[in-house]
Amino acid sequence: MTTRFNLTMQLSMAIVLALLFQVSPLQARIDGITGTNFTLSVKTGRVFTPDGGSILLWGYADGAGPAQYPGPTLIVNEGDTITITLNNALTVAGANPAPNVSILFPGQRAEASTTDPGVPGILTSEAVPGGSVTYTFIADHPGTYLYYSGTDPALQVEMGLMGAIIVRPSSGAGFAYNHPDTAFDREYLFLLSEMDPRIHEAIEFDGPQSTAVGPYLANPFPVVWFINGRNAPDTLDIPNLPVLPNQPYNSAPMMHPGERVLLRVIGGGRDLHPFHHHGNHSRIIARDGRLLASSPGAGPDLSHEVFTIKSVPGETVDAIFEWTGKGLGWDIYGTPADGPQFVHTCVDGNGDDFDDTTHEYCPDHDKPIPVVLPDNLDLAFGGFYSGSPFLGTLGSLPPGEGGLNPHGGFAYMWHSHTEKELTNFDIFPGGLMTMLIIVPQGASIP
Amino acid sequence: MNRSLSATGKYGGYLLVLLLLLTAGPSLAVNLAAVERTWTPPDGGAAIRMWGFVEDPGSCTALPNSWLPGPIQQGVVNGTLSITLRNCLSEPVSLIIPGLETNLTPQTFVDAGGRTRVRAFTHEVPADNGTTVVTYSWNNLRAGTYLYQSGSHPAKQVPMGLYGAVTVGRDTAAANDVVLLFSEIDPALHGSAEAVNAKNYKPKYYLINGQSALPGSAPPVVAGGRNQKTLQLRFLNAGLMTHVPTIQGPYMKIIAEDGYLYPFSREQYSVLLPAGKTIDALWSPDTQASFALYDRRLSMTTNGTPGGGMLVSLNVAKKFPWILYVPPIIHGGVVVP
Repeated sequence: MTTRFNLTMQLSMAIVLALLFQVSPLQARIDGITGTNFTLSVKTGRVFTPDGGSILLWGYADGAGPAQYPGPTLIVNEGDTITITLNNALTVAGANPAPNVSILFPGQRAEASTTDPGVPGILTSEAVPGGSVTYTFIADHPGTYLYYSGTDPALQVEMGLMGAIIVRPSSGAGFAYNHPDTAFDREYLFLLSEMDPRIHEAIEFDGPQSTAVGPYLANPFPVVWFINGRNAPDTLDIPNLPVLPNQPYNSAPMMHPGERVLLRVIGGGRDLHPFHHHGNHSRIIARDGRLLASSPGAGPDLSHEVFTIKSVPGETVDAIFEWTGKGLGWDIYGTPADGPQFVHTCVDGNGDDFDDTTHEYCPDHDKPIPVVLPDNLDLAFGGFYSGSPFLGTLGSLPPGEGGLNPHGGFAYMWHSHTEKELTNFDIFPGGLMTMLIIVPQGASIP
Repeated sequence: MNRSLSATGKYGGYLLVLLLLLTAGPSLAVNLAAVERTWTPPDGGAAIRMWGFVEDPGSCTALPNSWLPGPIQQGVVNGTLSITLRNCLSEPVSLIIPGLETNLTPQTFVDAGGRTRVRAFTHEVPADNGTTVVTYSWNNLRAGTYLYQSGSHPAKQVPMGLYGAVTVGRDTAAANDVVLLFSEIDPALHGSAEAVNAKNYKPKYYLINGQSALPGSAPPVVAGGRNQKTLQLRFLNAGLMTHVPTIQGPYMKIIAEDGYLYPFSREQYSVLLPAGKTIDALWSPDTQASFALYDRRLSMTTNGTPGGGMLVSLNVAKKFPWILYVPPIIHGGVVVP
């Protein structure tokens, strides 16, 4: 191995790490389109992967917009009658015509309209090439749902035809369901999926007439994995990035200590993905858009804690994640022994063991961090290291280091626990992975 | 098993009890034979050599030819199930029912290295062209849904097709029940018994109740009870892969797993069904229609062609059978005009 090659490798790793920890403007509400009437169109697009891959996409578009992977997140209100018109604008290679397309709404009692019925398919009514079909359903239950193609789903879901639906409860936008125990401060979508590029290449070359695609469809072997249609580190970049025209959504969760964060986790592909969220357990309150309740109105009394959310294809999970630093055994804000700037109080007026403002865990107040902090000369740096182990503190760093963590936040990797899925076509790190950034009270979260 | 007596039981309606039939006693004694048959794919592919359980024809001659999963065995709660097995195959076979207790007598052999190794979970029927029959018994049957399958060289004999469903009792809330047995076939493992090697398992056909939907055609029909009558759905996975049975539109109440009741039912439109698992769910159809039921792991291919595979049409019949009524055709909850 030559020196030159080593240098190249080091540069590549530096670029990957810089991308990985690039902090861009983030968003706290789930991106999507709202209303009661939607027009979706099936079109082709490209899914770009961080390894340089470019994969043919069949995606649902928001009307005249570009194809999206995943399709537009439909955000609606409980009780509304939802009307979705699907246009088939798909074009394909080869001599065969473009296929019919359709939408299934699991958990909803959807019907095709009498005025725009489409044509009968095996699983649902379909739109012929150049044609349309209109579906209606009543969003009579709040929760997290998904939609996907009901036409040859083994092919069309793989090609990208799936998306999320969020039904907001009548209790208001700060609740997942109609019960106080489902209140949240922030919410994030984690729509998990995978692709086998061989299938997309065969369709790109020969269209639906491809004979090469069959063995791949019978036994797919995905090599790229996605959250909200992006692979790490693109998950952390801003939404609506011009260089990812067909992948508008990101996955960049942020929170303050003590907040309740709602995770809406959806299995959009065909494989199970164990979604492992570092930092703390989460409490699963619902599955498939139904509260884990012992009886109607009981609230999520059958909820339970996990540290890996079992995401099943076609199913949805709602979970509440909280983080305060409780149990670490040291003061995350530093102690007077660390310097005068670390002198602070822990005021627990309501007796819940937490500071009433910062949510610091008071029993650990002023407990020293149980390690000898290394000298900067003994450290290697990532762009995200703030120079200090204490939350909200920026320490001294060598010139050119750090800078991507202006609030001195803590980072926790959230990822598939099928660890091979942390790659982009065999290149680590990547894939089904993002970072939760915990920032101190007062730091802005977009 | 009375859940209303349990500390956590709030759903008295999910009591599984003995289904009393005036003509049936507590014991079920059946005769089966393990035979070689063929399964013909719906897409016109070559017939595939299978091993299967059939009702014992009394000898190994004049056997039926077409393979299906073994016949459903309907046991009664607290009763006895005894199966007398004839072996028409080229190697010893046996019978086990994971989840139902009985005394097992593992069979061993000495390999080329002199090591004693287990060949079967329990006593076997020798490969003697059907001369010997052997009886397997289970007492004090526990309500639920179970797989019966070969206990000999199961990595080979089960994928070859030696499996079937056992039902014991029925939930008191249910008026009807239906078995939905998921499995797969990899033709490459079926050429000759000696060639079977599960390490390269790549199934090409995905089956529900032994049938694979043909792309472009109406899916196989499964009787789904009656409108307004609660149906008990019994999901079983005799294959080697995980499947996610999904009913399009309505929700089910998942009540039991591996024949054990949950303390509370779970309301979902889908079921995680790993290999060897059984799940019981209740569903009360509110319309007379056909509902699509499919694998959301998208094993919806037939030899690689999308649109087939694990997909059936669950037909809900009219509430009162004596009223003549032609139902509308509904696909997946969508009324087709």
